[in-house]
Amino acid sequence: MSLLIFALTGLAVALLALGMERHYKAVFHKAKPGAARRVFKVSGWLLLAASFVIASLDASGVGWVAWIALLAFHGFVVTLAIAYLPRLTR
Amino acid sequence: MKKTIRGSLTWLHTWCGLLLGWLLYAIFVTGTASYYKHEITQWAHPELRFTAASRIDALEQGYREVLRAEPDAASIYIVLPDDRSPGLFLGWETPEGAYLTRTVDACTAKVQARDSRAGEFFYRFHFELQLPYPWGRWIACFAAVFMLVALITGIVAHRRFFKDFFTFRPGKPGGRSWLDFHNLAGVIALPFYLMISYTALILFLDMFMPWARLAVEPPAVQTAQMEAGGRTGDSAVSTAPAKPERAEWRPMAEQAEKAWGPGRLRSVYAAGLAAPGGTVSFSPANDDGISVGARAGMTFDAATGVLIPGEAPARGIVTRLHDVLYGLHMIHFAGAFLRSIFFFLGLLGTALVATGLVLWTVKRRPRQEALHGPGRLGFGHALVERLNIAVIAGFPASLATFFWANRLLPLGLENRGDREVTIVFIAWGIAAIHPWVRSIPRAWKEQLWTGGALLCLLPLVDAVTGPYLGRALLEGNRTYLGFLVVVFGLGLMLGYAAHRMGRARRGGKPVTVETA
Repeated sequence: MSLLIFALTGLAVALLALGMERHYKAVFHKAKPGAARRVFKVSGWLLLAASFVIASLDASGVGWVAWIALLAFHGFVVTLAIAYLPRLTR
Repeated sequence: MKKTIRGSLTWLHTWCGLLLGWLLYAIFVTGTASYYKHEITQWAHPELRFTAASRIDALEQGYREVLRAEPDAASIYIVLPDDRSPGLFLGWETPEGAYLTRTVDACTAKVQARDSRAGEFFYRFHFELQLPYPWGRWIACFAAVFMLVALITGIVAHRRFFKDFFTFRPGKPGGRSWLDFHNLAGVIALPFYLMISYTALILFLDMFMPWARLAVEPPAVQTAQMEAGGRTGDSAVSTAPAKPERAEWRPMAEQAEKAWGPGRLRSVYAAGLAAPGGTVSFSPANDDGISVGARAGMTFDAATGVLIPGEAPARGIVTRLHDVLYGLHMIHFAGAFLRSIFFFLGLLGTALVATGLVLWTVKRRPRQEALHGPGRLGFGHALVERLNIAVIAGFPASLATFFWANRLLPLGLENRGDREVTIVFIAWGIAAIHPWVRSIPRAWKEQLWTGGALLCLLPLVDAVTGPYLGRALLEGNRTYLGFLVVVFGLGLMLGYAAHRMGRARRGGKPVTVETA
């Protein structure tokens, strides 16, 4: 279950980051954000909600703690990826 | 003060952060290490090995060993091993009132671990700062309050909290990248920092808000209790009473394990053994939920071995909330996976404090050079830069010497455990002097390289000082090897920082200092 929460929160955070105009443009080397940006944003929020629901299944509350900690972890990793990936794919 | 509220709060963030930053950095480093307190201990006590011995057998062995060492022990405290650390902790009080401890193997209780404070050193430093009671705790308390202040003012000071989400622009001049990283580290793990500093205050609640307890419990009672060494009742009177009977512990332990399930028995505390009315209390591991007080212990009569039916202690909402907040700080509930994530967040917090301290100097450097000429700094500014080096680079390097001392000091040395700690402080003293005899960029590089080398070479030191690394490899002891891998990784990080430091400064003018 923790692996599932790990994967879902990671995907959610990555999609939310790509759903932001600035990062979308940087990662895909585009001048204008396309319709895909909206899809990323919406699916990011949906996955975030889904992962929260799954984390809530843990009656001890540890799932929520893991959920918040994992969001921070993925947030950091995704930010570094956004900072360095466009340089590699250019 | 500044004209706007944001200006005032930014000012508060800057100066609060600077003055408390060095302290918070040391607290963050040792606190992060404390997440792996037991893993550090199992490496620092390599004589003890993980065994398949049952917990009740281990307890029985430990109890016998205590009685062999001190047949008239007044109280006995035993902590059982778990899958993170194989040692069996024995502590007992002699009839004269001295408290002795020993960490032994769980199989025979005969093999004694080397004299080292091991993970306990990092854990104690985290909130006592190696200072005498209660000063260290008061200072740590103070640091926790100001961390909360720094966090809240930091949120206000950060102008584009949401717009800059997921933003890091490396290689930008003028401190932009440092600020980006500081913001990133701060924003991304903000819930973690708020939780950790707030729960720290809850842990210290009794120290700086003692009035609630004083109101409930009149001070006279407390003083009397303190004078009796924390004991209450007539059992504390030591007028050589008839030696009471001692029931076997095994049936009690079996009863406790039956109630809680196998492997959940954590520690045993037997008190008042010198007189009739002694008790043996069994405590379970409270690691299956966030709260530290979810499961109550079981107390038996020391003479008869009969369970004393304790009325369940009244646990109101405040007590339960307190236990949950306490548990969040200690994360006993975290398994290996979640623990590693928290370790990462601890490192991120360390980086947050470090980048904040560096940022203070990076932002002020151009003004200093305009004032004092190129490459020259005022005394106050240079002092901050040098303290930054001694703390940010010097403290981790000093802690690395703890592990070296653990393997290199002769085993029979008197007060060996204390000397390990002394070596850390000697190393830190050298790190504090070093930036005054070297130029600032060189001191950064040299201290970071030193720290990186000390950590990366630790497996080598381990391999040549004893059979333990080879044995761990043969047995596939993941806890032992994992410790060395993490230490090696941290060494690589320091080395990378040293390498970047060299690149950033290459071609720059050497910095001299005008002591004005």
